[in-house]
This record gives sequence, C-alpha cells and structure tokens, in this order.
Amino acid sequence: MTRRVAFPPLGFLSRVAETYLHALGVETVTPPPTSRRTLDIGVQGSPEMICIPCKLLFGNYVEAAERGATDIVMLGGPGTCRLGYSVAQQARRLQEWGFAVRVHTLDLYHVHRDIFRLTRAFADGRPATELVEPIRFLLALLDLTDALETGVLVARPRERERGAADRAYAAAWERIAALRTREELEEQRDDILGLLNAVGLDEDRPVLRIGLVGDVYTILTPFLNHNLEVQLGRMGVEVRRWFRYTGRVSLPLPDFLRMDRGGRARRAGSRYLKRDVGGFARSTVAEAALMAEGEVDGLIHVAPFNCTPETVAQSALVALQRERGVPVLSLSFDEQTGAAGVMTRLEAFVDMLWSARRRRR
Amino acid sequence: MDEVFLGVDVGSVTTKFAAVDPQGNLVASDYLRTAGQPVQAVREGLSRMATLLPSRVRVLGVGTTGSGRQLAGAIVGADVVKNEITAHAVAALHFVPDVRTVIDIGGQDSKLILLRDGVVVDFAMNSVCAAGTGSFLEQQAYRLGIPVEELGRRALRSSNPVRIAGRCTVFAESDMIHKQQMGFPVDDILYGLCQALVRNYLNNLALGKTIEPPVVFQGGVAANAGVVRAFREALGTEILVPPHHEVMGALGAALLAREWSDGRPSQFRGFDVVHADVQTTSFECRACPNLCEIAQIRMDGQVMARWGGRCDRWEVL
Repeated sequence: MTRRVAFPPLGFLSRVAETYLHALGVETVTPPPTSRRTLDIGVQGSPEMICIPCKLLFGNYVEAAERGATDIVMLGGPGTCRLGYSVAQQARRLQEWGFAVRVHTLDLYHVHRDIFRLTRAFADGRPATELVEPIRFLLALLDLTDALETGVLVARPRERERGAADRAYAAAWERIAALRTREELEEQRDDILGLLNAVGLDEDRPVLRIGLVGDVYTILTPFLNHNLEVQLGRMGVEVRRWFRYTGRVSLPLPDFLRMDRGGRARRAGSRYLKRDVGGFARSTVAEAALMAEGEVDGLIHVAPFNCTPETVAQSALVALQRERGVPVLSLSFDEQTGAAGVMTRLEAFVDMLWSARRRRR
Repeated sequence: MDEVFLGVDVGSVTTKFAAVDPQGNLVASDYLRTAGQPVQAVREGLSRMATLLPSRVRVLGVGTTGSGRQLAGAIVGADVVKNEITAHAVAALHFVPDVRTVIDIGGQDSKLILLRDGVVVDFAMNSVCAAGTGSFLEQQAYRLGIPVEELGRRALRSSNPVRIAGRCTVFAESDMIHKQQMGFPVDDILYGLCQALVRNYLNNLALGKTIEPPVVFQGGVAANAGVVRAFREALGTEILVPPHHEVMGALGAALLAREWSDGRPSQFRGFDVVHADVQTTSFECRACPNLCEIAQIRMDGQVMARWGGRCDRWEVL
C-alpha cells in the first residue's frame, strides 16, 4: 500500500512539512483545519485533565486517519512536557479506535535529528547522499516562509484595504506549495514575496509592536487562540512571533559564545529562567527578555490552561515585567469557545500600550 | 436646553446607566438586573433614564461598555464602544485624579487596574473562577437566609472572624457549612466570607503586582462594608469608595463619549428606540468545520449587527 503521510495542522509549519514531503516524492494527506469537531473528538479520546493542545492534536490525528493517512507524524517526544507521555497514550488510543496507522514521533527537543530520521524512514531505502538536496530545499523553504510569515504580520496592521494582506498571503502559499526543488524556489522567491509587497500599505499609520511568546501550538492554532494574530492586526498591532527559523541554527557552542539570535536571547533570559523546564518555557522567557530590550511596546504570553512549563514561564515574565517595565498580558486558553473575555483583554491592553507610548513622547 | 452624554454598561448580572453634563458631572444614573436579557435591560433602563432626565434633554454622545457592549451599542447607536478596563479607569480618574489602584468587583467578574500618573500601566481580570465575585457572596448570603444588602453591616459586627477557604466556591461552601454546624456566630462566618473573597482576589488577580494607594474600590460589591473592611485590613491602607461606585463603568463610558464628541454629531437613535422591535436570533455558520454560532440583531426587521464568528464573514452587513 502506498504510504500516505499526515502532519497535524500547525499553520505554516504543516505546509512546510507537506511541501517538503512532496519534494521527497512522498504522498501526503492534509487533515482539515482544527475545528470544533476536532475538539469534540479530542475531548472524547483524552484524559480530562490533559492540556488542550494534547486534546486537539489527538483530534487532528483522528481526522488525518479518517482521510486515509497510513503514517502520522506526532509532535512530542520524551522530556518535552506531558506531550511526551501523551504521544504514547494517543498512539494506543488510535489503535483502540481501529485506525491502523503507523505513528512517528517528531521530538521537539531534537528537531534536526528527527527531521533526518523521518526523512530516511519515508525515503524507503534511498541512500543518504540522495537526501542532501531535499534537506537543502527544506532549509531554503524555511527561510522563504520565515520572510513570508514576518511579512504578513507587518502588512496586516498597515493594509489600506481590509483583508488584502491575508489574500496575498494565501496566494503566496499556493505558489510555495507547488515548489519541488531549490532551483524553482530561488527562481520564484522574489515573485512569491512580491505578492505580499504589492499589498497597498499606509506606511505613515502608527502601529504598535507586540511580541507574541508562549506555546507554539497555541500561537499557530487560530481556532484555539480566537484568531489572535488577525484580531491584533486589525487593532493596528504588528505582531512579532518569538519563533523564527532563520538565524537560529548555530554550531553547538556554549551560550556565551553564540552570536545568533537564539544565543543572545538565551543570555538575556538567563536572569529569569536558567534551565529547561519543558515545553517552550525557556525560549519563551529568553525571547521575551530580548524583545523587552526596546524591540516591542509590550508582550503577550499565550499558554494552554494548566500548562506546567508555560506556568513557570509566566512567573518568570512577572519578574521581567517588574524589572524591565515592559507590559505583559498573559492569556490562557482552554475549551471555552466564547471570545468576549479575550477581546476585552486585548482591547484594554492595546489601549494601555497606546497611552504608554503617548506618555513617552 | 440641557445637554448630556450617556453611558451604558451591560454587565453579566446588572446593566448600568449614567448621564453626565458637558462639564462631566453626573446628572442621573440607574441600574437594574440584566436577568439574562440584555436587550430588555437596555430598553427598560433607557426608558427609566428618559424619565430621570429633563424632558427636552439633548444627547450629545453615547458610549457603551461591559460584556454586552456590542449588543448595547447596536441598539442605542453608540458613538464609542469601549472595553470595561478603560471605562473603569476613566471613571476612577474622574473622582480621584491621583488614583494608583482600582479594584472593581462586579457580579460575575473582577478586575484590578494599576495606574501611574493617570495612565493604566497594568491590569488583570479573573478568568476561570467566580469565587472572588459578587454572585458568590449573594449565593452564600441567600443560603444563610440573610439579604445580601445586610451582609456587609452584619460582617462589620464581627470581632473574631472565622477562617473560610477562599480558593473555590465549592470548598468555601463546604467550609462554611462545617463552621456553621460547629456553632460559630453568623456574623463571624460572614466576615470570614468577606476575608476569603479578598484573599482570593489578592492571590489571583494581584499576584506579582504592587498595590499602591490611593486605592479606589468600585463595582457592586463595594457596597458591602464587610469587604471594604477586609480590603482595608489586608492592604493596610484606606479604601476609597466613590459615591456612585455601582455605575462607574457606565460613567466611564459616558465620559469617553464626551471625550470623543468634540462637536461631532452623535449616532444616538433617541429614547424612542425603546419602542423598536428588537429581535435577536442565532444560527450556525456551516462555511467551515468551526460551526461558529452567529448572533444576529434585527431592529424593526432590519439587520443591525452580527457577531460570534471566528472570521469576519458575517460581520460585514
């Protein structure tokens, strides 16, 4: 039977993964975007006390299996957080529910190692030398999508016509999804980014800059975060996500020697959180500390309700706020579907940052 | 002719109205229970305001706030629709210009707003818990057979408060029942309850935040002298309760409308809007698997507003 691989819906990351798999010659299955149905399935198949990303991911896996996936890439791996245990439980639950799928874990602590491992697994015995080119394509793809992701976040608050930036972004993704080789990518790179650059922007419009830190699943799942990035964009906020691929790959050097952004962030954040406590907590705090050095007007920290690592990060951010005077809004998300509380906080936070800026003048 | 700015604050438990004159002085206010029917509450409140105000009054601007601010805004024709944090801060500043801390406890939510030099610098709202709100006090007062209005006065008489678990309404209730069956005086239990609410508030909302005087306490629960006393003792500072503490959100909305006005014409539909036929309906959008619940407001047959979706598919009329 032909292998059909599915990657859970995770914003641009799943699109990158799919495009890469296509370049490798692997068939894929695209699960539907995370929705209320995903949540219903996830809640049914998960322990009640587990965090919302775990529940939604399980729903994502089921929806992928329903669409005919034979292989599912699961996010987790030992040591990350509860997700590490969840993966094992979820794999078992899938079998219990009668889905005969092979599961593969992408360990969030060893992403590079696992990308290579999974590439070999899906390449069905092709020699490693033949995999060099696809991996170089993947790196170029990440570089391009980084530029696109940043671009849409910058364009949204400045667009003259509402929705123009998002339409250009969607058109750009259609082009990217069709790319198969590095040559094609390099040839079309300027055209693709040009789609976004063609959006009419009001460069004089004053915008706020807000750093978005916290759990990656929450940041990349509009269903869960009530379309946070788009809502902020409409309120005139340029969002800076903490995670970017570009400028983060470093030789395995000790932190104090690293010159890349990740290294600088680690040094800025070490005052508030010195070691890994699971999940994305350390990166969250490190990036927040670096952004607090004048890069942003304020920080929004998003976390799934009762996420242990992000709760630790939240306390560290309280210290950061007190010492550096950078406003921090912490939002935690769970199964609730009412958006009123989130919107009230966002509006109040934006009001507050504007008056802080006026006062600085 | 008298001129006013109106403010409407549609909260989860009560709906508040305030009118200020062009100088910002409160000229009339009122509040009533939302009773799960915000449309009805807005209409009834508005007609009551019409009788409280001079008959030939001119409304120069309207602001709405509270969790029902969009709905109220669509019905009355609001010029400003503002979140309740900003509205409460504006109102507190109006009474105490050098206020540094605003404590607001309403029926179903509580807020903490920190200000420095007249600007909001930090805030918190409770999100997952009702143990620190008015509904909790009301429920427990009801259980003890005491009118909630009397709770504060009775709590003041306590000299030896009983410790009640404050983390969660469920634990608090079983703790209270236990203490009551042990024979502790009701006044001491009531003040223990006020202290539990304050402890819950300070441990949740104020976590990691510095509360500095002057402290203004507003919202419906500020009427409760027992809670005021518990805050004063816990914070070791004077607690200022403004004269119209229960309508501060509405007052803030009215002041924001006044700020917005600057001679611009108001969208206010007039007091006659209370006679309009307002229908709210809802439907499930099937455009994607999110199946958002879209609420729709019709006034005299015409669709005034829609919301509730994760995207803006239905918001543009």
